[in-house]
Amino acid sequence: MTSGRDRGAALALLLALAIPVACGRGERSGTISPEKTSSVGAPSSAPGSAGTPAPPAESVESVDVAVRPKRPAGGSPPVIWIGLDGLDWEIVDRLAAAGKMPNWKRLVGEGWSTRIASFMPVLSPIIWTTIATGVSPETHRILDFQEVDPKTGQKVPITGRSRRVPAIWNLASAAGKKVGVVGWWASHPAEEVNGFFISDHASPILYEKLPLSGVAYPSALEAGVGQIVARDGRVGAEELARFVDVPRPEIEKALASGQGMENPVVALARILGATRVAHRSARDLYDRNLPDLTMLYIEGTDEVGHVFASDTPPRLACTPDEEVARYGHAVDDYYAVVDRMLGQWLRRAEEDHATLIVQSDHGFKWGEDRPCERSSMNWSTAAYWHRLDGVFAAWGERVRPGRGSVKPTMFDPAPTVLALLGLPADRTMPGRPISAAFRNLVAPARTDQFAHVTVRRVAAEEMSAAQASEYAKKLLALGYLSGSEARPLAPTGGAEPGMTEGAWNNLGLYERETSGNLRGAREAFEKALSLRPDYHSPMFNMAVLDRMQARDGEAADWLFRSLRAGHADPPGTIRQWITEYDRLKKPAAGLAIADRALKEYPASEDIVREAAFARFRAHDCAGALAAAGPLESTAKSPQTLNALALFDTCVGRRDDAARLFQRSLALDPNQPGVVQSLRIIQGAAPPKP
Amino acid sequence: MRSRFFLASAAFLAVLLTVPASASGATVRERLGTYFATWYSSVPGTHVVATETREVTVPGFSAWRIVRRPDSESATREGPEESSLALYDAARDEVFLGEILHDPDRLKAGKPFDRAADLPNLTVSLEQLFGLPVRVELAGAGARAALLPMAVLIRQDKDAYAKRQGFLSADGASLLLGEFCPLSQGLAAWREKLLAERPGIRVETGRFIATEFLDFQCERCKRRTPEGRLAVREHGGALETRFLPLVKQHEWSYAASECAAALAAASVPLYGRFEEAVFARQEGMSAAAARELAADIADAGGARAAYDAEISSGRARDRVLADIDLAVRIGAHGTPLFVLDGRLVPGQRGFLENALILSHGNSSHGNSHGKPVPSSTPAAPASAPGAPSGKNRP
Repeated sequence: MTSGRDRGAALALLLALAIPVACGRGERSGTISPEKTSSVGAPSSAPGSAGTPAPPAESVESVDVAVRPKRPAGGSPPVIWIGLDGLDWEIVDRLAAAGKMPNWKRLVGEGWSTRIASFMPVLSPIIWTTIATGVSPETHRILDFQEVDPKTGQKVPITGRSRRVPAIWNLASAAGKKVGVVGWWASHPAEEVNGFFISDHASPILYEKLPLSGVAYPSALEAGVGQIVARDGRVGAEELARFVDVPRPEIEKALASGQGMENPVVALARILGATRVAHRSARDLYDRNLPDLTMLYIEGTDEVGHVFASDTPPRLACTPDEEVARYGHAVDDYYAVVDRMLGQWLRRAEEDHATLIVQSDHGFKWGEDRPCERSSMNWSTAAYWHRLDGVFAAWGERVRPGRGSVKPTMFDPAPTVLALLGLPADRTMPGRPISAAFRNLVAPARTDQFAHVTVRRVAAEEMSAAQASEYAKKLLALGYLSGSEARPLAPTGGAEPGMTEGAWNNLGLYERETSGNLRGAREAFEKALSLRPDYHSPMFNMAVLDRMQARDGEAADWLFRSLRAGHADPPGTIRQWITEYDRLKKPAAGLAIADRALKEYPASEDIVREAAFARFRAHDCAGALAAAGPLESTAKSPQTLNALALFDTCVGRRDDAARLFQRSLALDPNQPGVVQSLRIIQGAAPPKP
Repeated sequence: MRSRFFLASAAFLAVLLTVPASASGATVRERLGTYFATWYSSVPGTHVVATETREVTVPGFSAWRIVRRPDSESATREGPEESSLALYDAARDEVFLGEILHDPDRLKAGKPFDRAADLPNLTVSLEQLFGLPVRVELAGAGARAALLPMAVLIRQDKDAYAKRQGFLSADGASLLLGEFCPLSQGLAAWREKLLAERPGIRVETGRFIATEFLDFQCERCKRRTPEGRLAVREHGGALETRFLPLVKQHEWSYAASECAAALAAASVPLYGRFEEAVFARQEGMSAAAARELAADIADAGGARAAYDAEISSGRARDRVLADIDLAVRIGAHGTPLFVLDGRLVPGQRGFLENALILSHGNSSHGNSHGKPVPSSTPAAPASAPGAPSGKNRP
């Protein structure tokens, strides 16, 4: 219960807040004021070109150019397609309602929006490449964050060379459309298009300090990109102090420490810098080229969640007060930056009669579903923070306003964009145009587009082993890789990049979870294990596959092998496994898992408790007590004491149960269920016959 | 300036036991203390005290602050603050259970409630309290002279408003959200009576009925609903299902509840299929997908026409809204929440099982060797004051 005064005060505060929020509604977003911008391709004339770059007087999201070139009349209306990684309805709804994302509010208020369904495995390079090609991962073959250098076996960052099909930008370019691409996942080296192309290697999040060779097409843009990276990509202590409540000297120390993404302050600096680099490059080049199709990808909307989601409101019980105090508003402030950028794109869409599409590859857990027990930064658990549903929103003259009741898939945006551009789609694209969002959208013709379009890339400097290692470290810090996945493989030979064991594992996951091709999944997992026999993830995936095929003995073997090899959260995994057997109405199989877990992990309080519960559910109260009883004197968790109390109740030892519940309550007084149980034990009538 | 209604307290959460009918000679203070103590007194080392207060002033009623205190003044016990306000109607021997919003400034000003001027402000305050759009309906004079009956309609979905009954004091200074209950009747019996008035969805039958309030979008409900159903069945009972979609947090839970209610009315077994399928696909579900799934299940079960009729007539909606209303009245706020013999049993693993063993025996959870396991101390007394009635719903 809350005290009356507290809740009264909260209500009063709400009323008090209503006034400034209401006042804020009248302000026009996307302020336009004169600015001397640096331009991609104009390095000599831009400020900060010599010596150490000075921080920008005004950040790119704050000030837009006063005057823009006009797009010539006629032709099909252009498409501006912005990819915001991990954008989720929960956070944008909250921030829009709080007045912190006015441009987003306008975009969805005047446009059409819906949830968009992602697929397993929810990994950015895979899904963004499906978005850009309209085909499945088994077809486009971008399956991991890394690929294998065929000559050395070294794992290097994933590149466009692994992609087996043309992307939308290639199709549009080949059809004579002007194209501009900035930052799309797995797009390095830059591809030769009718327009401009800045690869994902311009991003300071993952590629800071790496050579910019091959990052741009036309190659003359490289110098300008370098300048933007040096200027907009660098975020100083003074500015960061506005995003976090950390003492200035501590921020400066962090920035000078040489630490990477594992340090929240450094991570925020990189995220903000990368966002500005992508936006500045795309905005300036858009204004100079006025493409028919613009594709801009921003990674920070996901990364900021991996770093700060647990510190963000609503308050999570597992987050220490100190962290909330330091980083509690970083996400809100970062999203406000992104919103100002969206305002600039809304302006361009409005002035150029363009269709603006904003979408994500998956959602992110921002609410009470955030998994306290699973780190958002740990390689093995980061994906648990993703939601399968992402965001899709469209705005412009061709858009039919409203909130969509249909849920498109990641295969649908590509044919949608082709239809908006009046271009045919490839026959192999399984998606359909999202016609509900647009007025008079004609489905594109289907032809063999991929077969007739050649992808050409600019020359790029090979990455050294040290540089590849640096990249792998960043992926590790962001929770994308395990340590074992960074190790080199045998050279694959030939000219094409090889697939990592992670790629084979991901292919297996896709086949199992999305395609339903269980034989293909098994082959892929076996291939992953042949490349790295101690790799726990395909072991676990084999366990799931065997369980799906009712091979319970083999499934158990793979399960415990994967746990021994390092699979995450053994207690939670065992519990889920037993629960799944309950759901499948195979309690004996669940009990066998429990008994084996007791043998393999006799000292783990959490695992023993789970195993004992399995016995309880199998109506073996004495067995449950025998399993968990040894924990009684050392138990540290209220859950264990509660479980022991339940088993005691079950065998008729009510006073022992009451004593255990009281111990539990002493550890955590805020347990209504325990208070309730105590009350029943202390006052209950004898059980009914 | 907007008038402010200060929320004073929530008094109707979780008071558990049947209280013996008006103890002869007991004062109101003692009776209120006993009434609320049935919850608080289980916390070791504490007791409950009712103290008359002037924090809220409504003519014809006495106001009481109910506080849980440590047994000894020197004892300190960490834990959530447990204090609430209660209103007592001496003429009817009834206690008000619910939330009380009170504005002392307005009371001092002595202005009567002005429907035209005050209703919009009241609506804004309530929208902020609930975080959802609301409409307020004020009735004419009611049975209690000092209180105007009213209803707050809280938006759950398009054209779907959950109703919370309440009262407004004639001076507009006090807003009461809830209802008056006989002080002589314990909450457990009162809850059982409310639940029995309109049965929930029952996929099976048993010697007794337990209830679960669930939200299809809640992760724990996915796990605990089948576990709870099995546990109740194993003790010879049946678990009925009611809906409590938490629409502020869960965007498709209302739609899924409405579909589920429609399916259940068309065919209870089809409801079972829907429940299983929704939980299995919880991660990727949406309102549209839930509706599509329910329609597919109705089609496959040959009940599409009946299903459609439940939806289009609004009967499915009304069933969900009635469940929400019932949940609020009995004090259910989160999900999953079980009700067993009038007791609210939290949804975490083990508590329902524990309550079932204690109240309904250990019929299937015998020890593995079939021998009684001796208790280390004598069993609890056969009966205790305020024990639940144990009556089962038909």
